[in-house]
Amino acid sequence: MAAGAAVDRISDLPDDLLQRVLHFVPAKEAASTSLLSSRWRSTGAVNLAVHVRRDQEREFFSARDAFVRSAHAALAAAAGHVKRLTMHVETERMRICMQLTADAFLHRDPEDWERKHDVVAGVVSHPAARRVEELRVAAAVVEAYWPSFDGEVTSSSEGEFRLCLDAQPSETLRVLDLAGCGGLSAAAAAAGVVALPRLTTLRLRLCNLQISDLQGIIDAAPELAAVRLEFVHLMSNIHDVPFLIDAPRLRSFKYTGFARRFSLVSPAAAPPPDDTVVARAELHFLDHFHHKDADAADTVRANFWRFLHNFRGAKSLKLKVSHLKHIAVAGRAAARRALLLPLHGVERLDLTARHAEAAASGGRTTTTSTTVAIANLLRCCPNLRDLAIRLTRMVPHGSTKNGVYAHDLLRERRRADLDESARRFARRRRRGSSTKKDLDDVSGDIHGLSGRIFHCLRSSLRRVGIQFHLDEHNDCIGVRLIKFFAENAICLEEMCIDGGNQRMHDHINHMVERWIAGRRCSSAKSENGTGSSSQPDVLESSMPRFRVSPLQRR
Amino acid sequence: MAAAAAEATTDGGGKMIILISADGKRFEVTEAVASQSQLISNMIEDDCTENGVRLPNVDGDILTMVVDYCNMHAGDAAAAGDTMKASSTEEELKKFDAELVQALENPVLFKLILAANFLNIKSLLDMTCQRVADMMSGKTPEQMRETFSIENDFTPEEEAAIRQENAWAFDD
Repeated sequence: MAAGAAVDRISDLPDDLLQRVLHFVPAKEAASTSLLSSRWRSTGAVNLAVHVRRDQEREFFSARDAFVRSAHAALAAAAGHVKRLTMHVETERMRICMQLTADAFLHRDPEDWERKHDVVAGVVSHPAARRVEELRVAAAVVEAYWPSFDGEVTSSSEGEFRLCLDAQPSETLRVLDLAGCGGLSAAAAAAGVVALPRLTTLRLRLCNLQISDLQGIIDAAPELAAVRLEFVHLMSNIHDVPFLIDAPRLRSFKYTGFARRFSLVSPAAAPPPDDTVVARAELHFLDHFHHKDADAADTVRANFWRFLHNFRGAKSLKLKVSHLKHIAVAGRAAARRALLLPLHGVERLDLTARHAEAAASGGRTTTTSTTVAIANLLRCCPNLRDLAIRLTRMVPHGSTKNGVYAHDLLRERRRADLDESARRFARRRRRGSSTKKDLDDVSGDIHGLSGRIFHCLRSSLRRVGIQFHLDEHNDCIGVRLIKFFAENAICLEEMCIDGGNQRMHDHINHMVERWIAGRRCSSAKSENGTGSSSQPDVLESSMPRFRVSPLQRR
Repeated sequence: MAAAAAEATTDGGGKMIILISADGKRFEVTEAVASQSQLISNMIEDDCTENGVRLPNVDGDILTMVVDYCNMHAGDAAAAGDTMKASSTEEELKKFDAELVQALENPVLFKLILAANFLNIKSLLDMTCQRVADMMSGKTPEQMRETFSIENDFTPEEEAAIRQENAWAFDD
């Protein structure tokens, strides 16, 4: 290929493919490609970024002016072909002048401190950006000692800038991704013009918005299919109204925030036909801090289940909560009936939650509420096919605002966990067959699960994945769950297990086989009794009816 | 029972279809394998694969790689929506993918990108674009030009002006 090597082939790729490549390149290198050749200048991607260091207090506003000049020059140079526009403004928290924030960078005048500037509007409304398809704007104040990781905005005082798309209704905009936005508006729908006819994806992070602003954007975007709201604080002038989204074409919804009153379609509207409901929902509920208060805890619990009910038609549901006890509904049947409404559409459920060690948190009560919550979810999903339960010992990633700090902390803890399970494993090996004995000890009823009838276990559940940590202080919740599903899920085809220890499933395989064998005997007996159509060839086969494999880590 | 069903989907896969490359090479694949290409999947739906699918934009040696990739990922696509997969096959796939793109010379890599784009195989397209992106990461414009044999057609004045505009991207 020596001859071919001298020929520049990459520049022959069409614009959309070069943009796709640049999408994977870090912002800085992507921006620097404008220098490669004239071909690369016209790819349609303009990446603007500025990072003001904490030792740049004196040059703060001249840095702003330089950024604005270079931004406009870059846009002018791209001459109307800008398809992807990225603007990333980051200011470190200053040592002395605390008011020198991203907001000051974008708006303030150094002379009289009035909001005389609007850097974002200046860039977005530039004529060269008129045909922009993807617009990403992020503004944040960051801590100097915590570098933003993975290029994500992780910490900010929300609401650094306002964005108005009504200056020029954007007919080409497909993707709108904002972080640190404090106000958002599109051209008034009253004009009878759809302001954002092609917008399909809306992602908001660390934003502070009026509910009416969000609804305004959604109303202006009839094709909107995917919405992500992460740490978005929605406000309303009216006290305590449910946060309501009416987005008829929405297919995918991702939410990170508190369980609050939320309604996906306006109650006045007719229930949508099944094929137009959200197909995928990913919900990460953050910890409220006032769980001590029983009333507040009840409200959070009720909000959670009502929130969930919005996604009754979704095929795939991903849930992350910090403590399952905050969602467990036990007690009176009336209360259960009121909250646990069926989610008929859900076929895949992926649940991540923290399971505190029993010794550390008062013994059985934690386990009880964990299993009750799992039972609640099984009851709500009668058509479940795939279930993954991930019980972690740490706070799920991202549930604190200081993402960087949490990230480092979690990495440490993960490493510690790994070492710990390796150590325990080694000790178990030395102690000979004690692991087997530990697992053998698992018996007795599981509160909320044993003896109950779950529709999905009888007719639909094909795969179960369980991730947990097996250790001495633990009450073996993971193993007990494995046993429960092995014995009770009639049509199970695959069980994936991760006990915090790669070798775990080797030990557990033969246990599971025994549990299935037990089930087979008892079910054979009972089916003989009832005379229902059984498959004796399957029941008598010596092979387990489902595979046991290690769970894929995320 | 379950194991047998799983085998049926990977081994059987129903009808075979013929893919014909630009230089006339013929590849026989199952519908399940071929339908990872959205283009071919649409053709299968429209019932126009009877006499083989001609792919005038794709050379035989590139199509060989694409077919290898699709064969390898056939089971994967069937399970793509599933919550979890056995990690052994996952690892095998990762290894296969890594070896596939690592080994490629630049011109072949770009041809593969074009083919993945034309055939509309999103996973292959993302993987190949990511590979190119990796080759650009951490490089100065000069190093990128060298890597990809890109000819600098700017005058020194133009180059200085561009550096000025995007100063943040060039300072270290």
